[in-house]
Amino acid sequence: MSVFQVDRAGMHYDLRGQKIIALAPSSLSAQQEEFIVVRGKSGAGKTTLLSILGGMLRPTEGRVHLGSVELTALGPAARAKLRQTSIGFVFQSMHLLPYLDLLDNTRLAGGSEARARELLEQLGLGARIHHRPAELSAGERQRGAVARALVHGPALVLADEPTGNLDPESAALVLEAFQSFRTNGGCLMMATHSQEPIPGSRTVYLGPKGLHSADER
Amino acid sequence: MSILRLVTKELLLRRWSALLAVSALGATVAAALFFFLLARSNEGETRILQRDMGLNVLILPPGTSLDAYWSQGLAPGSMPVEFLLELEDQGVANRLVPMIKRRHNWQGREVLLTGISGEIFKQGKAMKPVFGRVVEPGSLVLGDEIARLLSLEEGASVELLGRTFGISRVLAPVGDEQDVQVFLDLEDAQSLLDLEGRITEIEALECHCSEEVADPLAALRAELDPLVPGAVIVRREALADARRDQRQLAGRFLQSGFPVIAGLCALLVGALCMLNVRERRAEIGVLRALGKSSGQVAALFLGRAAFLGLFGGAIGVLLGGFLASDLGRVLFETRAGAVNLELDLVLVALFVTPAFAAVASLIPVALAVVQDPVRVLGETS
Repeated sequence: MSVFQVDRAGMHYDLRGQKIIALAPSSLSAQQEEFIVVRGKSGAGKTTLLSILGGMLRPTEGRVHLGSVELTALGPAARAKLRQTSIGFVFQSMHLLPYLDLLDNTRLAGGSEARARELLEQLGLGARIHHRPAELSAGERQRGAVARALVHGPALVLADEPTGNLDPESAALVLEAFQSFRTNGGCLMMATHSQEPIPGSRTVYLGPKGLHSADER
Repeated sequence: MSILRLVTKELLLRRWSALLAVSALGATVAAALFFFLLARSNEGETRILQRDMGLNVLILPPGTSLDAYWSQGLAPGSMPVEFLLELEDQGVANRLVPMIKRRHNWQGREVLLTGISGEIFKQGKAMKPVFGRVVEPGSLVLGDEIARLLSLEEGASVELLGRTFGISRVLAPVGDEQDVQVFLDLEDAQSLLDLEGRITEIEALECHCSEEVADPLAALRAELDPLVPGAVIVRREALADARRDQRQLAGRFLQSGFPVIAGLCALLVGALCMLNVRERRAEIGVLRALGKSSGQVAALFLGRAAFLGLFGGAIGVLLGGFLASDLGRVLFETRAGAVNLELDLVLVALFVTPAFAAVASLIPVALAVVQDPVRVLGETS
């Protein structure tokens, strides 16, 4: 069974009488141990696609399944519960809570303290676990956000430009953590501007007509 | 991670912001409480000042001609002292003071002999006597002018109608009839004047103060006449009306002013709480994105608001109570320390402030948690 299946999901809204298409109808599915990279221009709908997949936004058309559950048929509370158990999310703006240290921020998503410490060590943040976000660099905050997305052992991790603002060394640590998650049975979808190839990943492009594979470019 | 831990961590990091919020909440609670306590004390103070202006109802023996009363300053006839018992438990004339008044030529001077006893209150009601014209048996209290004319001083012994009395007190000049009055105990007066079991008038305090009565004199007569048939009821209109109007004014000031002040304070508290939640909408979005339930998110924000409200309320109670009490001592000299902060008022403030702060926070929290997390994050990023 696929980890997720997007079936002609699209998103549009009205802005002062004008129809704005945030995501053209798109279809996609992914299996376990799959790493999908979504590339596309700014405004193509990458964040919208990830938000729909994460159950944080309900599409205006189409359907989305997470495993056997139709995500688009669930209410906000049920989607929140599903996110807590099955989905990890790395935001473009990180969104760590400013009053919690890195360890507590990581544990906010659930999981054990030991697992949180292990992930933070793996991401090179072992010495920074009791530092608050304001005391960390942008790269360290982003790696902390990655640890938070992985700590509760989700089936699917969605990452929105997680390496966009990172130095090459930090970006490599993040990608290493993602690869480790994938090889341990996880499914990962990452939106990025970067054209750098990512080993073991499948790239899809998002444009005005929706998603298409690399071969269709 | 528990909600309490999150609330504590947030408060510790943003301690100055929390302190400011507590101060603002405290100041608003203090302002409301300060106004309420002072307005209430002002009402009480007004009541006492107005009461001290004097008794405003006269009950005279049946058949008394008012032209005779006003020209002589006393009622020629008398009535049985039992009238007092009849009047003791009605609701329109309080603080009954029974008297005997008779003119008498004493040592070549015309004086007004006034036998008097202490105030008689409603049955079973403990009240503090305020008129203070109680005279001990065997003693006299003299008005200033008559004492001066007869060269009599406190402590001296003097004969009156064949009986020796001690002068217990000489009153300060007041500029009215009292300056030529000679006060003595009611029973002494009854004995000296051969009026055992009789009195010549009863003074009382009208008690229509807090309600609007179209014809107060008719209302008094309607209430008292069945109890003391034929008695002549006189209402000192100017005195009674001034007392009633002033009391009503003080009451209106409290009744209309306090809701306005309390409403404005509530508005400020509400705005503060709503502002705090709006500033932290991104956190709501993150917590919702991480799968926290609406209840958990609401508990985090409402818990914080209630926590700050409790501290703000406590500070407000202390500050408002202290300021009102301190200023009250200056304002209300005749009732020093009359500004009392009762336990029930403290409990109301300590309960209402956190509850209100939580309710005020509930609105923006509820609006944020029902939205898709991405929308909340999008609005705040």
